[in-house]
Amino acid sequence: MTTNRFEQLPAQRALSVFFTAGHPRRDDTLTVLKLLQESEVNFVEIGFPFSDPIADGPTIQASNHTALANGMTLERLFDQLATLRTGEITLPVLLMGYLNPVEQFGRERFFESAARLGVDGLILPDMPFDEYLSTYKPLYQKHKIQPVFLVTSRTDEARIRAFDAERPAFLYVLSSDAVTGGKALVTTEREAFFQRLAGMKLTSRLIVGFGVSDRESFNAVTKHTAGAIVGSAFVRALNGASQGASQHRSDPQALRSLVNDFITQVR
Amino acid sequence: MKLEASPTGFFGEFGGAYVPEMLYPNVKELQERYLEIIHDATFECEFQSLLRDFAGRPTPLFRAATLSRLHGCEILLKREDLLHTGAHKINNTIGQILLAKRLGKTRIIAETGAGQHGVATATVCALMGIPCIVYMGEVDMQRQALNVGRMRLLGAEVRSVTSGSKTLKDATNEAMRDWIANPHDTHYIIGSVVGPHPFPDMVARFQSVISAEIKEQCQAAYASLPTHVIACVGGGSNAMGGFFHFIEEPSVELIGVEAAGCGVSSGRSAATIALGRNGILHGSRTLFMQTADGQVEEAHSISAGLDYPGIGPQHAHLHTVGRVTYVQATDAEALSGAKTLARREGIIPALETAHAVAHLSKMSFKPTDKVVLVVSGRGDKDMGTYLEAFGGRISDDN
Ligand SMILES: Cc1ncc(COP(=O)(O)O)c(C=O)c1O
Repeated sequence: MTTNRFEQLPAQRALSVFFTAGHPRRDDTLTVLKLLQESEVNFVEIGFPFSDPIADGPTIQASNHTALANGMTLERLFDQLATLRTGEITLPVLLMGYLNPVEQFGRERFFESAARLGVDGLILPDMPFDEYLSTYKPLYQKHKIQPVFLVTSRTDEARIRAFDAERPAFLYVLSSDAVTGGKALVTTEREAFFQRLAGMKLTSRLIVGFGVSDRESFNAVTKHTAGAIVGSAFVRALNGASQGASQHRSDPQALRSLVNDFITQVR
Repeated sequence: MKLEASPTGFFGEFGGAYVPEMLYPNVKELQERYLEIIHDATFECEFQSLLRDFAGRPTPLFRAATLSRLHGCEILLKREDLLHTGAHKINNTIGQILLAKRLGKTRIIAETGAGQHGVATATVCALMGIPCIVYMGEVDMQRQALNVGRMRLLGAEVRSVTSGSKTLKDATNEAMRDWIANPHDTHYIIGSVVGPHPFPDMVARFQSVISAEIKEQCQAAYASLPTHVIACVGGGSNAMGGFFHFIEEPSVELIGVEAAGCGVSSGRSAATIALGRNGILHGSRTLFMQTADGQVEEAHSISAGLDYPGIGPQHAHLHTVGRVTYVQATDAEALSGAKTLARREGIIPALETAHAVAHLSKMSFKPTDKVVLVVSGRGDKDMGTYLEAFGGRISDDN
């Protein structure tokens, strides 16, 4: 894999969607991915579940627990992604999750599996930047997987520039002080923060996440940035796919209309 | 050996600060300022005077005559149960509330299992006039109802946590989520030697007063060091406090007693050291009970304060290097330990402490041994469990 799939992103109003692998049903992962591509979403984060997601609100906590109860594991996720790049999926795909499952799976083995299957980026929110530099950076580089760093309104400029220098897939800009699933309130203070970031002339794209849920919040946060990620609102919409085609799969027609309706409401 | 945190908060391979960016500035501020603040002369003076006049330090080192006779050695009880609010937890909350004030924080959050840390936090918040919110698992709110009432009477808001096992681990998750949402005005008073650096080191320093006093009291009474210090281990704060000044004294045998619940291999235990593997939980690298896939397992112990699948990073390190021996006591053994201390010495201990008492009968001692047992707390909060466990038999059996 030598192409950098992030280069295909539009310069403005890129829309990304996050969902938890294994929710609502264990084997929906690839189906949801395909539907998101059909709906012209620009890139996707697939969350791998953890029992104790401390940066997540009730919706994503619940999707993690459903996924675990459904028998989702990293092993299984990599099995599901075996055909990720053999079919029609061309959009950039990132994995996102907490550090502990990665460490138990084995760091090297994790990166090797993700790279082999055509995963483009990896977001590990509880990975300290020091540990990225000392331990993880060589793995990201060796396997040509791009990191992503979170930036809040309290992240200082030197730190933001240090993140930027690592050539991440993008900087994940938080829309508010909150865990996932809140409501993005674009106050004048928040807008000033987005403007300040935009004014820093960073090389990385700025993508806003946490609390982006509908067209209004999408439009508001992308005024000064390159795009936004919708997570909890999409995960909540997927809860509607309660009809299963089989024990481990949601009904594909139900999923298709849920995904299409949802994306149309955002962009 | 020396037990010292590296600049990034590691004890050997354990520790560190694995927090998402939202908490980075808070944790960084604490890392940069905690030593300077707690070594400041006016802080030190305020801390010592509150420990003395508000909490009731020093606590006695009491020679337990009957237990001494039974075990054929000197058994010395370090009476943290006599402290204000009934447990060692207040040593830490006094330190942290003084620190929070110096950081300009105006809102306090805490997690609690047995409710002792919640009560100790609510107490210092009432003392200082600072609003306090305590997260507590729904299961623990039921089994430690008395402490819920105490916190509320002290003016704290107790928030029930219904996720996961509805116990201490989940209360800790919720407190961290609150801190993420309120990073500007809030200080999180963690209740044990767990969490991201500097919490384990800071809490250990505040609790180290326990071993400082033991050392002095033992010198005064016997002109020597103790031969053993035994303490129960949940997250490990009373044990760290009791061990702290003896870690560099190789002649002192240090023993931590963790909760085996229904038995170490029963699938229902909190025997973290026995069953745990290296991983990342609640902001630090440590040992905890987890599945092969890296999911945190739910703990079980009759004692809410020990019902936690992890352990502080210092203990993970002290275990790995072999400086401390970690052993286990079951729910049933703890209940019988509680009864022993009540009947033989007139002290009703907390269920947590009862685990340490239970271990005494599995050891053999020399007549010259001076064995210190940290009585981390008193048993009032556990009377419901004791009455239920002993039922009618509580009246006159022995
Ligand atoms: C009396 C008592 N002892 C011990 C503990 C366990 O905590 P730690 O291991 O941090 O001392 C608790 C916790 O709630 C407690 O209330």
